[in-house]
Amino acid sequence: MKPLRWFTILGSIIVPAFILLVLGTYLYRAPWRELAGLLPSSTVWQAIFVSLKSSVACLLLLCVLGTCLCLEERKWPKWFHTGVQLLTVLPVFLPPAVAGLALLLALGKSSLIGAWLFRHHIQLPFSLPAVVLAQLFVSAPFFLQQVRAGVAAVDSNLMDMAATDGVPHELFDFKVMMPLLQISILDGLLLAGARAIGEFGATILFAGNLQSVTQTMPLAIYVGFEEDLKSAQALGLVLIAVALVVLAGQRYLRRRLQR
Amino acid sequence: MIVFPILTRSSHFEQPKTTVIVFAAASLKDAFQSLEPSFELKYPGYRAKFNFAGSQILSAQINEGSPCDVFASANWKIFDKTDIATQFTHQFARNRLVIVTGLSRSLTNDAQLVKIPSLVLADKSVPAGNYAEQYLRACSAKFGQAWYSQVKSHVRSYETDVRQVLQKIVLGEGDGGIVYQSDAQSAGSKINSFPVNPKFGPIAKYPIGIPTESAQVLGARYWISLVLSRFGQARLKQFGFLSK
Repeated sequence: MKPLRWFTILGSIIVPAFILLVLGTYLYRAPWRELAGLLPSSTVWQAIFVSLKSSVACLLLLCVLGTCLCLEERKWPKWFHTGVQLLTVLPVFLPPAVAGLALLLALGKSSLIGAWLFRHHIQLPFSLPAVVLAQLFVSAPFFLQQVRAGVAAVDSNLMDMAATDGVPHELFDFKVMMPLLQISILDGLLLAGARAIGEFGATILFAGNLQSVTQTMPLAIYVGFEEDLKSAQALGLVLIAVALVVLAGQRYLRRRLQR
Repeated sequence: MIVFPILTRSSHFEQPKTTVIVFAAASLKDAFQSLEPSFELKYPGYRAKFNFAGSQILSAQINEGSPCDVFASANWKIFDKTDIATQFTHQFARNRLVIVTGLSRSLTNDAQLVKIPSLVLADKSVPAGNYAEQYLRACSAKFGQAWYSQVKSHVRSYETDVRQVLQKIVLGEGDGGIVYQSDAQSAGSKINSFPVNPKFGPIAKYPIGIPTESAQVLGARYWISLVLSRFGQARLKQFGFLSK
């Protein structure tokens, strides 16, 4: 074989092998025997519950608001459309700690909005809504990216074709686009959900760390690492299991939708 | 284009310096950083680089094999769990607990802590959080269990290092928090601080030592002797620490 071929074969193995090594070691070193004793602890369940509540809220918001944005923006003037697109992918390029700091400065008590909210007895930092906002901020680009790709793939003549079939223009988005976007929305939710569940940096800065209120699974893992390595490892196992189930679920749903 | 040759030349003539890697508790950040230039002056050929974080994180990193030459911890418990060569270990500083509040509020006694509507503390896995918990327990023996549970119900967040607690108070997100005297001092006039009654408040003790895996034992010993020297102790005092 040509040397170049050898190079690509070798090169192709390295990344999967690396991921396998890291996760495999994690599974190998996991405290399997003590698992039954570790998982029922209240810290673990409360963290799972906080993560679940916040990421479901985040995905619901994204699903509604994000889809609206993707459907509407193609009707906007080109320069405005491009500007909004750039703005909404920006959080991907920001370290989460910057996102958390920015959220704290924009919505904390010392900001205009935060001060106004506080006069109405609402304080965002240290609350579940803060966790949701942190997740929304960092995961929105992942959802939008997928749905935008879906919108772009739709044939531009479709609207006129639908009109001849009796679908008025104002109903086009609901009757034609939405069903076509199902798979993109699903993919978007999956990616954004993965990012939201794993969110750490923005959450710990903006939402703080209080068990059963703002302590999500990644925060519990971090605090656990400082205190009790084994319960941190157990929580990590839960996250790996969640990832596997979600991936499998997405495969299954995707296949059903494509049929 | 003009700057470039000058830069290369000056680094060419300078002798390469030996780097001493210092892992230090977050509360030591300002003090240690201010000691660094004096270290380079006093021990030519050496310089110090820092990793500041919660002591427990540093300890775990050292035990997992992170390269480190000096470890300065904010309590003995964590220090004793770390792989340290015991012959160089010293206690080099102490620190008092203070209650910090926004400028609109000030305390005159410990019992008033319960009147602060939103509190931010350090997590109990962090030394500062551990000391705060000890303090609250000691207070509850005097002011009653109801006082204790009411104070605990006002806690809005358990931060993962003591500096985060301070920042949340400076930003006004929390109305009050428990930090070290040295932290309160670093925030200057942006906050009010009330030193807790020594009857209830434990004094934080800071050990320093050299990990067994250190590659620069000599440089590490220089750093420790600078910290223990009269000059180093005076500098720590400037930053709000008590002497060893």
